[in-house]
Amino acid sequence: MNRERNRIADRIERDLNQIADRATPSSTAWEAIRHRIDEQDTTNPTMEVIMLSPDRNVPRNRSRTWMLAAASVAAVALVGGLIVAVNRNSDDAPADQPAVSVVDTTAADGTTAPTTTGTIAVQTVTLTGQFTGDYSVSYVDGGNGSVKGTETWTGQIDGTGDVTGNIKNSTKLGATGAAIHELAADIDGIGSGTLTVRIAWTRVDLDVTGEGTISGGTGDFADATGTVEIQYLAALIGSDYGGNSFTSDGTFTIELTLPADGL
Amino acid sequence: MMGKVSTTTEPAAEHLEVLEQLFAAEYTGMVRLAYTLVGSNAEAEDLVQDSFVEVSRRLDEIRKPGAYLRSAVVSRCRSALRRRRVIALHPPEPPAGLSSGAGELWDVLSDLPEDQRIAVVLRYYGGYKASEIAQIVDMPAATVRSHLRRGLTRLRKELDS
Repeated sequence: MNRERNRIADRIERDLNQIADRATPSSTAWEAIRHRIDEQDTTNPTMEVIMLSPDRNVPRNRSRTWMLAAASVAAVALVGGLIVAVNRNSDDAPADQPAVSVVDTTAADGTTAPTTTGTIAVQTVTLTGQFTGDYSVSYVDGGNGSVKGTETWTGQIDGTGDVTGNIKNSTKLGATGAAIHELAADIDGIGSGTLTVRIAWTRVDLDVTGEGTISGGTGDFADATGTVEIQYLAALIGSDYGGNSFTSDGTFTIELTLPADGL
Repeated sequence: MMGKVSTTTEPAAEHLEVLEQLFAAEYTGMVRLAYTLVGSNAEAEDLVQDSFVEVSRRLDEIRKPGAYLRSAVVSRCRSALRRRRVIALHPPEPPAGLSSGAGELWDVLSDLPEDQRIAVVLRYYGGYKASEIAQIVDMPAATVRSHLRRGLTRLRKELDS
């Protein structure tokens, strides 16, 4: 019996070693890890507070209301219609224009946040909304899928931050995808500039980076018809989920980085 | 008043030094181990690199980075195997160039429940005792022994037939 056991054990050992010999670790793995760590340090929005500037066109109490509303959206991840906080830095904004929120680039410690393009001072407009429409997902394991942007994702996160259990749509490590985001109102008149997208998911600690275009192009936002197309890369980060289930409703933040003179 | 507050910090130099030493000591072995579980070189590397990032993030709290890394890698492999099953993606092809015996073992291993598969690989490839496997996968040793026993029984039956 022991001899039989040893025979099968020997065979398993031998064959497993042969399988392992097929692994070919990359010679640039350390650089890749460093890059991932650096990327995490620069993109991980572990705790980010975006406070909205006072609206210069409305009484201060309205501005405070907006601040509270924005904070509530971020905190409780309300899934609803698109919330566009547009707070135009212009004195001639019509009264019925969506509020324009210009995020101050001054950090809490009084230093200026690095949001400049060359020598041109920029300001950032923050739009908050939710994904709508379908988007495609390609998995690191292979295969592709299509996911409803408004679909609630459920699953279990194990002790290392991986998703396990009954999750069949997205939120896979390394998932990539694209989303079409319909703006509730157009943002014409904002001016020209580049668009950067930082997607801050609610309730799920995701490391998400992305780039976006407005109406399929970059540059002149005045031509925007209210569509933002986002390409993104998502990867789960963090580990302290305690095995609890989670839902992600896809609330995100888009930052439009604009030259100051474009406003 | 407005602005942004971020809690992220740059890793310290000594932090990176510890990681680099860990990388030199463990990376290749971890990729080989992950490969025996998931069967894809790219995925194995991705899982291991991801585990290094996890170690980096928690280095200040970890007493044994090597042990933590092993657990993280195995846990990620287990998650990857489960994802495959849940979302019914294509199972990995056997690695190219294997002998018929190793290919047969791969096929049978692929059919094992992931916990049995992990226990068998850690025991017979990693050389860990059941008590050590229990620590890596965070399971009672008795459970690990049960997985090993069942996995081995299944392997013996399938391979002998």
